[in-house]
Amino acid sequence: MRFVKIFAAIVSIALGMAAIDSAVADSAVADTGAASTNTANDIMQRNFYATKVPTLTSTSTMQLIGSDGEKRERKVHGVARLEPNGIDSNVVISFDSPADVRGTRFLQMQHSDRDDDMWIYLPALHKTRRLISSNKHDSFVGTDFSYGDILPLNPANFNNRLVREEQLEGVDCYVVESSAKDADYQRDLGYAQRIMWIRKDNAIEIKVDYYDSEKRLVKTQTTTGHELADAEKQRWIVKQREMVDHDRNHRTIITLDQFDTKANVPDRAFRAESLGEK
Amino acid sequence: MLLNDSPWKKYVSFIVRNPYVIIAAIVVVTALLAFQAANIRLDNTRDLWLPSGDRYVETTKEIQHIFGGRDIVVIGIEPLKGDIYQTAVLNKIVRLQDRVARIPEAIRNNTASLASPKIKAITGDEEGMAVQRMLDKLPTTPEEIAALKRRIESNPFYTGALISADKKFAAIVADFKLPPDAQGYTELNNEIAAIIDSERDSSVDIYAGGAPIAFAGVEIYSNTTGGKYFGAAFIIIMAVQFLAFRSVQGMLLPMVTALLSTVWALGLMHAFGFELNSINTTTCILVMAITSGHATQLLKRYYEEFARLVAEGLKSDLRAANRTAIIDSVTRVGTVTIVAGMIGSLTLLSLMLSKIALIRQFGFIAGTGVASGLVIEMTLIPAIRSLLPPPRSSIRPEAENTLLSRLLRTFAAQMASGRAPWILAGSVALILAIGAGTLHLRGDSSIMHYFAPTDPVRVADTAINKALGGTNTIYFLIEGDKPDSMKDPKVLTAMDKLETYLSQQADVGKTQSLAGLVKRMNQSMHADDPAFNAIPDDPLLIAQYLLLYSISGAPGDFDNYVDNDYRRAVVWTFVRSDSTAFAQTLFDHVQPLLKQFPAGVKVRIGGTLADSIAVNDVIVSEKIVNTFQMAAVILVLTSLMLRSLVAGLLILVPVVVIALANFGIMGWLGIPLDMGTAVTASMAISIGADYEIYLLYRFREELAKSGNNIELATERSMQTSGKAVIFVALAIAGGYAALFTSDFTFYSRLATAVCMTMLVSAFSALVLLRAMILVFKPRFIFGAANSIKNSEAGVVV
Repeated sequence: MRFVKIFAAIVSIALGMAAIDSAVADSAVADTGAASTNTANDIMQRNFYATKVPTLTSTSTMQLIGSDGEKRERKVHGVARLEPNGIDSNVVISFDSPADVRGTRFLQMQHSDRDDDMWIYLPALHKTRRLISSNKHDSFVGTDFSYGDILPLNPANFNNRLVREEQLEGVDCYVVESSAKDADYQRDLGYAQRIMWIRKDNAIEIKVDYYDSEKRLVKTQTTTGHELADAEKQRWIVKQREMVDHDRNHRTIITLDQFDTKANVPDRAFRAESLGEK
Repeated sequence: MLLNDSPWKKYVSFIVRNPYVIIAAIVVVTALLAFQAANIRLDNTRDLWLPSGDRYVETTKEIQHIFGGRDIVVIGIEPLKGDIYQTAVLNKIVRLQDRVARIPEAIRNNTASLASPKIKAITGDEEGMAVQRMLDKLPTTPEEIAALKRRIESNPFYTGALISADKKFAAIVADFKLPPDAQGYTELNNEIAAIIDSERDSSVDIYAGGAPIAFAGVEIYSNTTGGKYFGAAFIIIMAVQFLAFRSVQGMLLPMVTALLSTVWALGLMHAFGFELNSINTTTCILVMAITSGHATQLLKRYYEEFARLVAEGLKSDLRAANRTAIIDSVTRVGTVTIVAGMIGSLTLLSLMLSKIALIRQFGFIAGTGVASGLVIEMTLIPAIRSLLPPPRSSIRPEAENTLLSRLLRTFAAQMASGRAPWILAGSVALILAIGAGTLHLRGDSSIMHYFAPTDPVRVADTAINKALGGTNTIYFLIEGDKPDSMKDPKVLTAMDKLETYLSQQADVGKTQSLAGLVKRMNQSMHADDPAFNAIPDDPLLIAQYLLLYSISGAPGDFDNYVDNDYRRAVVWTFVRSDSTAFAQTLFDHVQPLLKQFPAGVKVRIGGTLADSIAVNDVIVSEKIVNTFQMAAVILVLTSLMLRSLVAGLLILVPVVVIALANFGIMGWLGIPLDMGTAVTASMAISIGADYEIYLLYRFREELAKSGNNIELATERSMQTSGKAVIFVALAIAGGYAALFTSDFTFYSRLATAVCMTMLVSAFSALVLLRAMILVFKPRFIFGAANSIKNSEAGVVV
């Protein structure tokens, strides 16, 4: 199940590869509860849908910045497509640079009813290998983002509370406090609570503070460059996300360089045996 | 200079006439300095122990900066029955990991144990590779425990680091970063101890080891017992003063000097921006002992003058006798007191040139303390003395019929009756025999040896050292000339060869590096076939393995092994032996392996053992340099003062002998040169020079007074300054002797070294120097005696 999150994450917003059909996703979100939490839950549901687009091809740049300012840069491109069940996605992500990892590809096949399947193709080995990992809140492709940070999380799994409304960087925001309902789920996420500043106009979070169980700030995510992808359904693409890991004093910036939500993605792109094909 | 001391008379007359002015001035200065002293901070930074600028030390710092590991604490857990594969024991590991990582000073992502998120098991099969946390969910069933066993056993990378080879010992290795204003490790030690205590029960032993624990141990000993030993030293020194003077006043006045000097030294220390390391709290005992000793010399002279004046007819006006005795005593010994004090102070201050901050601190406290004592005894003491009632009876200490007096008289008679050459020859033979011990002298900067073998700090260290790879470290910093250098198969192969060689050495318990991880991944990606437990030849494959691991793991997983841009990597080597000789030999033997790294790749060495080598080298080499520096100070000042190079040399030779004997005794007694004992040589030289100057002056004075009657002059100088030398030596040795009762080995070593040093320096002044003078009859004494006698400087010698 963990890898449902992992490469659903890759599917998702930061790389602009989210491919979950909004109509189906709508049904996946639980109904809101009491009136007092309705507002917060409504906001979180809007947030959940806001970055969901059906299919996506994209190229992105990841900058990994160390505590002493040293930068490492990776360029990737990816394709993602929603499965007929409307919940699971298949995703392929390919590394373009640095040169020594060019052609390395991952295939993620999400299964909502069992563990995901994941394969890796290493061009230097000329082989595709199945990959099993216990990844939960672990790093998203070696960045400071975890898969849980990238993946839009189902608000039904959280207790959400509208804390206040305020402006952040001149933008009107809802400030929502969100904590996992289930202890195991919280453990999976790797943090106890999020405080999210969600834009009133497009429902996208512009800042998220992550706290551990001791109320200690462990990470902070910020987003910029919100671009409208589907005016009718109000689906947006976030062009840049930055995550700061306060413990390691390390940060990652993921920038979406190009994206296309209309491209036709063939089936064979998501077959393990096709990973090694040029 | 010597012959015209009338300025002294004017000076001291002023003090006697205006005692309240002087006392008020000293009170003001003392109050200001006491305020400074009260604000002094304890600074137990570990860098104070290490020589600045040393290549090993700098490399260690650089490695710790890049890869962490500066303040590592190893918490070892050992089930009393069975191995660690028990749910209850594993649960303790999980809880310890969790609680230790929550300590505010903990670097969370650098806290490693089987239960740590960053510790992953890499396993492979026909289909592919799995990277999973070693211990994620607590195993409760036999199947889950068996699965954990398989994961641990298929990843030997962590055996010896986080789990012992016999699986009966596991460790939580936690890295900490103390806030800049932290005064030491005691607080951290207490936090760790509280966690350990809550987990320790009848089923497990839990130990904590590592540098922070050891340094906390030093702090705890120093802070909890420092005051006690200072108090004990104070009482012992006071008792010696009473023995010397048989008078409460005679006992108290030197102690006033001693106490104020200590306050002044600490105040000056803070005013000049120094802080106090716990280990240097014992230096206050030295300041107290030396300054009370100097005061003793002056006070003894006062009593002599007082007795003389009373005998010469001032018995009816004891107050006048008191005032005149003060003036005469200061006038007669003012110059020698200043010179001896200056030499004592300057020789100790010359330690400020040390590369080791701890030794610089020692030099500053001791040097300024002696200088402060000099100021106080030349100002406050005469002022107070002039206000105190005169001694009730005339005392002639030098004429007392005590055992000591009789012994000194007999010795002086032997010396003056032509036996001096034999005594000199015997002394030289003795010194040579003692000095031969220098050949056995060794440096030992292992902080663990500051603790007794039964001390909990050392017991824990021994247990951890035995079970795991070792608590001593050698780090090899591999530096490429461009990013990604560490992905080069040639570099990784050279690292692997280095690790292979290191792991074959008897005392090396564990090595870890990026090479080991790459080999493990290669094997996993080839269905765990042991044939692929090797560095791949293809640099692209290595890069792709590393990417694969980073995708499966966390970005911080490799932080301890390679830097962000793969330009620098480290080979961690854990060693069970703390022998620097072993480390030095190892460094020599690995040189050919280091040359196998490709061009453009540099290898530097650091680690605790490398640091120890650096400290030992500096302690030994600085001892030699510092001995020369001190010798130069003594030669220049005494030659100028006595206007004779021969005089300077005559004082210098016994001083060098003292240094030699000091090292020799340490060699014979097996006391190593460490941070405490290394400075005893400086103490010996400083105090030894002091004794000799007093004795030489007094002998010259008595020779002049007695009309070149060598026997009388010898006896009188022995009965006066000689006796004072013995009391001062007794006071210093006695002050330090209190440390013998300590369980802290550092203290008992120091006490032994200081007591031996006092014995040698007193012997050198009383016997060797005296014999040399009588044998060589230098003109500056025997020739000058006549001129002094005939000079108009009546109040001089």
